[in-house]
Amino acid sequence: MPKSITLIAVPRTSIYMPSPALSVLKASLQHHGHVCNTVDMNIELYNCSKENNLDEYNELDNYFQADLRYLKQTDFPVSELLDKSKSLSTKTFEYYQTYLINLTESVLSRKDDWIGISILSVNSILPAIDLCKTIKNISPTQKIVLGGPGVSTFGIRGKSNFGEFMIEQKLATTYIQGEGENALAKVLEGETKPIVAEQIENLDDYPFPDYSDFDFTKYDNKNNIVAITGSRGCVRNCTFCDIKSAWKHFRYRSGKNIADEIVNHFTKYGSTEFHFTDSLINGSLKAFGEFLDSMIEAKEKGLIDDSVKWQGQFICRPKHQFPEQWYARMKQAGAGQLHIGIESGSESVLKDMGKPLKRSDIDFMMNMLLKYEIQCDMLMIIGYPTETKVDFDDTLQMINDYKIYNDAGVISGINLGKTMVVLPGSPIGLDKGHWGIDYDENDNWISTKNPSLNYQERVSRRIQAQKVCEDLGYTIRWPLTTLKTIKSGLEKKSETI
Amino acid sequence: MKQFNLNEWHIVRPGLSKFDATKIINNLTYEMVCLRNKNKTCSKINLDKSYYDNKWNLEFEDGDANIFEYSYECLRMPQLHNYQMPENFNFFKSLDLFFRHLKEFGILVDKQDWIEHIAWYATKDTDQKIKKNFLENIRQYKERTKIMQEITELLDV
Repeated sequence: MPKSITLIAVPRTSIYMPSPALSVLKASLQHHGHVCNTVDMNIELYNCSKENNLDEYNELDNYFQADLRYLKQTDFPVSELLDKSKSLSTKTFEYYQTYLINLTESVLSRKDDWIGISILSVNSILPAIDLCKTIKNISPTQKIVLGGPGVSTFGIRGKSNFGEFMIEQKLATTYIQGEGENALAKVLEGETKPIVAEQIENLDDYPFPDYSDFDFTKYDNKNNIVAITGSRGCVRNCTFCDIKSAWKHFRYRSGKNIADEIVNHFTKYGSTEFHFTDSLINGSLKAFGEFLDSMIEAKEKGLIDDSVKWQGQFICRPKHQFPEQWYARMKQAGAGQLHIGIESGSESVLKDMGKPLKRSDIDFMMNMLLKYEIQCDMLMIIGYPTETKVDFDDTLQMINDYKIYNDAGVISGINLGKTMVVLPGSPIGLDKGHWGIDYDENDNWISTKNPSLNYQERVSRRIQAQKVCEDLGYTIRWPLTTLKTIKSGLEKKSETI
Repeated sequence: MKQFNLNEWHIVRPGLSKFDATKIINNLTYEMVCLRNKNKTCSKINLDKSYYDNKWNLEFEDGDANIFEYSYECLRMPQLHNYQMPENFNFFKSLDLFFRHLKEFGILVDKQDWIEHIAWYATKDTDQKIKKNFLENIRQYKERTKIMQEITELLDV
């Protein structure tokens, strides 16, 4: 018997494009014969705030970004987390509460069997708690299912993940860990236990995401941006990254299938900008090559035009693996912007990270991006466990050297992050002994193998990097929220919340 | 790319790639400072007569604007990201890049002093929307500077 659900994407997601999770799940639930409504709370909150309540919105936006990856894993009062919204100013708190109540009443009026909450990341944890509390206050028997990467990527108070914590607090009925396409249908069909979803093997078998619920004019972009998932998992094993804990195997769609999806959204919704959610778009060269060829073919057949551009996370490869022809094909296929984990300017650090590149490889890539007019964002990690002062100076030197690419339009921005985080599911987090990772009296990680790189030193380097980027006129991503978090940590002498 | 006027940016921009848009605005920032460096009487960019044709060809209006007033006249333009955005890092970049070029051309002013002066000129702007956006963006910029200072002080303790 068909069941119904309203899926809500809680902040903090993008204000430029609809939540891909909702459109993917809507399509697959419809495929299973169920009814699915969607609400992008992120964009609704933004739109109702931006004219007259921007101060409240800015405060909320900062509140959502409380970095709970630093949360102490030992016992602490639950109220610290459940009532964290009370730390907001009175005006913002009241505004937020009114918003949550109105949203909840509107969703409950649909009388769907389930409410599903999509939790994209650690920055969605607090709004998820606040929304679930509001729903349960108004309708204690309402069934709530949680899903998304934010559910399972970290634990709280000894619970293995956020979903378990929410069930214990009676704020959720169940949760799905992993891919939701089949699992959510099982929940609607009566599965009562939390589901650890098996990885889907053939991604080509699933319907294209359904954006029919979304009004693209609500988003801060005129290109009707749509997210594309070409692969899940990652072929690499970078030591700082926890992707393998979420996706054990790397699976990818055929290039033709991805290009067909782009043609579909171009035709149906007028979308001309596509953002890949893949860990790496060029993780598998075979799949990437197929995709480029399919896009070029679609253009030649007139199924899409030159206005179609795509962007995604990209890995710099050595020149012999990724010579100039690749960049030429990328340009032809519509490459617009790449998000590149440069991480460091030190070859030694890059090697330790599991990214054995020469500086000349990165220079070659930047030259190619300039030649083929493809833009990139540089993603950096300051304070890697083996980073010495000399290594850090190499990074600063690289930032200085790349001023020419910044001026020429190649570099659209630089993300300096909040300094290195030892993620529990990353190779470093899983083998702390090898890296000499220990914790000081304030729960800040240190490396016994590089003792001068303590918490203060990491922050000091981060601030130096920021100053260099400011002096050179780089666009530094999210400077206020990132700096506020760093400052708040320093005041407590602790990275942990 | 077809030649276009500075006033037509909002029409041209949607058809440009992000690469071209960034390159063109970076070049505009450079040429604005370059122009002032060559012509000390340059007070304001003439929007109608300035055009892009592989690089910006800027025309100016004569006057007695000092470097602060001239900087404000340039940076108030929406083309240099003076619009409303929750955390307007694009505007921050405009300010930083403009200041870098000032330094490179040997126009030496203290950055804090420069910021305070251009903010003062913003308060005198008769275009309410531009004024509001600029003052909010400057407020955010100054907040970033303040947090950086506070972090530095905390590190020194």
